[in-house]
Amino acid sequence: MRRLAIPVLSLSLLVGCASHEPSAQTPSAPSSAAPEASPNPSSPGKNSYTFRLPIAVYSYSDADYEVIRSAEQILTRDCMKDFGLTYRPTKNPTPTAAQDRRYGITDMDGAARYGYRMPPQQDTPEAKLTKDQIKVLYGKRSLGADSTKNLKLEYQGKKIPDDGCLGSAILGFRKPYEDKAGAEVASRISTASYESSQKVPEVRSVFEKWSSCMKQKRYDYASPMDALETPSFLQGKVSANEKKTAVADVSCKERTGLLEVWFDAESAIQKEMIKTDAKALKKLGELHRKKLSAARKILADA
Amino acid sequence: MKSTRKALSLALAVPAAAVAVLGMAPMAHAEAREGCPTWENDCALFYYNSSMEGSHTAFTADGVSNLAGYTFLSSGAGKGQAVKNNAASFWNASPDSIATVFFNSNYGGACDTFAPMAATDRLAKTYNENASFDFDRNGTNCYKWN
Repeated sequence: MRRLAIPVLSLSLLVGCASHEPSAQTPSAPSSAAPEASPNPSSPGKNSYTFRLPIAVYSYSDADYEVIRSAEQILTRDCMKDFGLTYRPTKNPTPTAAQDRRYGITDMDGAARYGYRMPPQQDTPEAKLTKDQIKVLYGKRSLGADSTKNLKLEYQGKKIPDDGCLGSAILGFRKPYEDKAGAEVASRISTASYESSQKVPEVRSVFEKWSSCMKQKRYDYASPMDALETPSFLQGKVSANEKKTAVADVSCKERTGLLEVWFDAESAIQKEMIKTDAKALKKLGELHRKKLSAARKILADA
Repeated sequence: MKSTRKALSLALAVPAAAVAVLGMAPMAHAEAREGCPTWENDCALFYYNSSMEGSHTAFTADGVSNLAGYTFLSSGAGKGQAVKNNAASFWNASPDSIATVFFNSNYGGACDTFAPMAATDRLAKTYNENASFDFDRNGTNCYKWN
């Protein structure tokens, strides 16, 4: 990935209109009408297994992250303004649609073109910043040396925050809504359900069917994740064999119904786990909602 | 987060195994080092212990499709041990990019995306599953808890 000298976001969000934001809530929606957990894209596509699983309602969506990012940019811009410096975020190129790889590859076109590799991504253009802007934006770490420990950074006689305008905007805005314990619970459920689901008899059985289907095409793998992790598919250029394997993989998944079987099994596991940790998850979801409302308010007032 | 807040050394300390991995993977331009050079770069740190403690390794510039071969570099508990499936905590030190940790190699399996400058004290508690990671692009279909 190319480094981003300037955070990326769409300018339309900056002017306070979250029109691309698929979350159902509007800034004026009463909180009592809010759903149980964090707002999410209205309907994730069929192949978005991750965001169709039950635990997903407690996760921020990409659109949510953009709203938060935009609000942090306003705070950053205001901080820069206090130093008499301008700060204008660049326009974000539309990100290339990525595949959900929770259950391995699922897209036939992608398999035929890229094998098991990630599709190529656009480079984000690097914004041109002056030395002064970099210093105030990134604070101590703009210097990149360990001799800065006790250094007081100043710009025109005014003390620069240690984390810079950008860092202090991000950390300051996060603090009241941070819920590390809740995030750990959610992450543990996602990881544990993923692992346990692969031991469910129905899933083991469909893995075997998939494996037989692959064997008929002369590929020898016990599970779809084994195929994804094949060492030769992680290095060098994509070979014709890799593309053929990937196409066979997706075709065998379709033939055996593997993806839906796996998804159903993991969903059932998650539902039980969510019940056990309902209290912690509720708190996490509430804090996410509050942070999003605060972000929308910053955008509306900007 | 205090152990990571101190300014970190610029010294490059890439172990031989990591060089071998990098040498075979022209797609990845990731660099493993003891600390993040500057905030202008994407940088993510894996820690051997929970709560950002123990030995750590910082990765800059690009993701790694298979963390095999990388070891914990900085001084502290766990130095020299494998990073893959063995990290207990994680910090995305990048102010400009999200970073995502994957259960499986090749950016697959269950995954958590970390907002800019976000961290977790316990990486998938009790499992220590971190096989690959990436900045930006691959976080689209992963959970965002923070």
